[in-house]
Amino acid sequence: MHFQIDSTALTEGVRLVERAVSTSSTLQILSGIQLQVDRNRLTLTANNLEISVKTETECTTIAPGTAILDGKLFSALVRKLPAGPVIFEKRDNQVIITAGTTEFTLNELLGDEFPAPPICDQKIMSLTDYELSKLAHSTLFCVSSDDQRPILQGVLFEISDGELKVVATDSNRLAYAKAEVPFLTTDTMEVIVPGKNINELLRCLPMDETLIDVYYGENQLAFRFNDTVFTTRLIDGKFPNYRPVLYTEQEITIVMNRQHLLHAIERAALFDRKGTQPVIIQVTDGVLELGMQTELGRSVEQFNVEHTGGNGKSAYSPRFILDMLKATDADQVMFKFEPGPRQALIRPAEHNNHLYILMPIRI
Amino acid sequence: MGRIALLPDEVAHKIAAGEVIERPASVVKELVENAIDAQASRIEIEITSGGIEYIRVQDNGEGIAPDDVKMAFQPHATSKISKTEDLFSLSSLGFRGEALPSIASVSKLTLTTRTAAEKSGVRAVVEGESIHTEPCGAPQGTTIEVRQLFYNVPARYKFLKSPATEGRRVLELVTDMAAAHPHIAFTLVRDGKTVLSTQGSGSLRDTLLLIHGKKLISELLSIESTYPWAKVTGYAGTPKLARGSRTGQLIIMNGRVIQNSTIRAAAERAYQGLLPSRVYPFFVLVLDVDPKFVDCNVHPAKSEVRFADDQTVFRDVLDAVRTAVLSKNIAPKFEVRQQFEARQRESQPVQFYKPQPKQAEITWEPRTWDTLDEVLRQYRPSAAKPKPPLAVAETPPRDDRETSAADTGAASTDAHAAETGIIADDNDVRSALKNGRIVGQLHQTYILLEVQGGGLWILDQHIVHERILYEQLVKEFTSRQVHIQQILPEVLELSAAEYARIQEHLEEIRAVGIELEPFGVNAFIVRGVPTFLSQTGGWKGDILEIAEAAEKGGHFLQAAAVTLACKGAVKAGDYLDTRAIKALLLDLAKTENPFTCPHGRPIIVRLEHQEILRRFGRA
Repeated sequence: MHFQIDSTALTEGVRLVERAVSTSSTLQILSGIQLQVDRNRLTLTANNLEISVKTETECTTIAPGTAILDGKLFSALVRKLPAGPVIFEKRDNQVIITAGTTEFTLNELLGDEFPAPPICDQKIMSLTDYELSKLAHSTLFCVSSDDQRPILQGVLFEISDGELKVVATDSNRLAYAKAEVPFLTTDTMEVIVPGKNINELLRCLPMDETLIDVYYGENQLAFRFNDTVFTTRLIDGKFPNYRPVLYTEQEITIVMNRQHLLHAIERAALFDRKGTQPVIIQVTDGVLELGMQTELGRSVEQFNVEHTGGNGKSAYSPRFILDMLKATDADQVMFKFEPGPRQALIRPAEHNNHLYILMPIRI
Repeated sequence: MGRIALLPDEVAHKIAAGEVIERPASVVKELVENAIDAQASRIEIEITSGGIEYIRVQDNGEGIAPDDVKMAFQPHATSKISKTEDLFSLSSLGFRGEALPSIASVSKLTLTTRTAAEKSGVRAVVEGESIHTEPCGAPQGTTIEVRQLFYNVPARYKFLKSPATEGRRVLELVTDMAAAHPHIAFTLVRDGKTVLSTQGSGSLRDTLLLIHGKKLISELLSIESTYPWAKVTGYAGTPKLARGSRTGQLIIMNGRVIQNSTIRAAAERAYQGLLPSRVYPFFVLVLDVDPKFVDCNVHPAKSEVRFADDQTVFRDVLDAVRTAVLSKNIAPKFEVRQQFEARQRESQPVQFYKPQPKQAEITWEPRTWDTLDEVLRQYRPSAAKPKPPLAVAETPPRDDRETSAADTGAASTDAHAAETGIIADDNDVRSALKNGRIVGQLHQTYILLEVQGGGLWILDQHIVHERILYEQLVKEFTSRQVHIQQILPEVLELSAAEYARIQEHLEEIRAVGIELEPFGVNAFIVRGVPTFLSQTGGWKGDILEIAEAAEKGGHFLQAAAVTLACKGAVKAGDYLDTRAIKALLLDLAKTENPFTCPHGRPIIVRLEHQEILRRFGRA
């Protein structure tokens, strides 16, 4: 293996794949980054069996070949290289990296074969990085951190009725976002993607209106964009049926400015140091009253709101309300609720593409 | 010609040897057992390179008569039993007649022996099939030397560990055997150095002290109980001797070290509530069991036994160890001195932590759990004393160990306390906590407090905080201040046993704020949980824990609070600055029981002024 590459291109490639470098050392080869050189292409691959990232970039090849280098060391070195051409040459089990007057010799990671990225060849859809990012950000905050319920640690990607629906829940609340995806190549699909892997994916997206092709393989989902393939493991199992939760009619509906509500709840939440106290929401004839009382003191705020349905009050975790208000950019939000144990709904007033279900706190 | 043929003797012996002889330690075990069966009072064991190269076991026992020497190397030749019935009333350690021929078939063995009746001894050199005997001079008894173990069984030789490991196994084995036979003097020489030597005085206690060191002396509680099936003796270690593994546990039955999960579980159960989880007590149990009640011929190495009635064994061993454990006050030592107490009752009050002229142990001898409960309760503030101004009266805290306190009620507690007169003046403790000077943090785990009037108190920061949180939670639970987060209905699938247990205690579980509804076969729907639990998940575990607490007739609210308090408390290793420590101590002073954590561990360890003086020779 012998090639030359521009340091900027190399740094960008390494930035993408280093997310998939394993940090636990059960299988040493997984802590490596694989370099493959053929005719004028350098392919970088990392795979921690949770996610795998493979990216290609142009290079000037003198002799093709492969090498596996310690991922942590290699990515840290590359990031610190001076701008300009970098020359790689493999001799025996060592790779010599030369950039200007700087020279490093890295020992190859030897041992097991580097695991190939999973094969995903069934095309599902294409959507832009912006669309994907928006759907993910609308729901990811609801992903559960409970190790004992792995399914809730994932995000549901569902294709049905010509739409992509993304759902996450931690059983206190549930977020649902949908979008019409222009290039759907399948009618129905339901997969659960680990929430933290989606987070890694979001960090890899170029965010310049790039079209992302999504492929399905056995228990894997692959996202292809530009010269990069990001593959994630899927969570096995059945996501809870969210539809009955989503479509219930609550008795009371209010519509108000999102920023006003956000700030008011933030103020009330200041009183809740333990994170266990509810904010009490009461609507009486077009007036919304937000109340909070803890051992630190109490706060009361009133707003005029658009109000339909009856009067009533209920209580919710202020943090849960804030999560949703921060996840949407709508000017006006709709809040539907009723007294008793039934769930409340928060959504942008203008459309129903982003729904948030919130369970009350009994006081 | 047929393909099935009898194995040559040589092969058959090696196969038989494989069952009994696995490593040097098994050779030593067999030979030492033979020596013990020969009535030896002194056994010397020598090994080099872990016993792989050389093993010598020398005893001063009966010896073997010259005519019997060759016979001893025949398989199933033994002097220990002669008919089937003997198997059911064994009193010797060996009986299968396999040891010598097995060892001889896998090593180069020399046997030297002389009986008391003979003038000269016999030496037998065995190598493979040939046995060569010659007369020679020898002391009374038998000496067996084993060289080059497994020289002719490369497969087994390959599985031997390093000489260091094999040597340690021999050492562990001889240590256990020495404890099992305190009347025999054991010496173990390893690579020319004497590493273990017992006196054979017949006292288990002396032998244990020789093995484990003198520091053990004050930590051993004697066990002695007799039951229809057995006599149980030995020693139970105080919780101080407990460790993270079971290495301190030894069960000796009829002179043999055995493994038995029933006995071990029973002995460990006796420490319930006194030790944190995953910490195992130290004990040496000696069981003299009527051979009728036990089957020793379960395993070739004879380390496992089977009892006719496991339940009785469990119950009685539990009883025996528990009686021993409770025979002394091993609860956190609270430095109340009787003399001082007496003086205080007669005359003017004396400062509680003032240096006391003479130390005397508390001398009660509780024999049952109830008594222990009483004793523990005396560490509490009681109505007989003036109430501390900040203490909260509505909900007396109850430790899990104190379950019977609820029934007896406060009145009898006070009566008992007044009667015995052993009440800590907890107001003094509280004011010491408030007014002491904080010296600092030790290992980022312990708070060091210089107490007015002298002495150093060491407090475990995690336990301090745990106690504070626990009392807060109990208060919140009992006053129903807990908010319930309704959740999207979640199905909780359970085993039939778990389901039954939860079903039985549904009311108690609901009382802590977990809303459950039965849902089909062996499942519940969870509809709400306390807000502080809503994000943590793992409710199944929490729910089962509460059900278990309710099952024990305990106080499920407290049990739930214990779990939660432990999760929320500062941990060992957290840095605390002086102000944080101050706040913790002030909060602790306000708690109802600043002495033990909800699990029963002590919060404060006191180094009294007097003790410091004494150690520096100033007293």
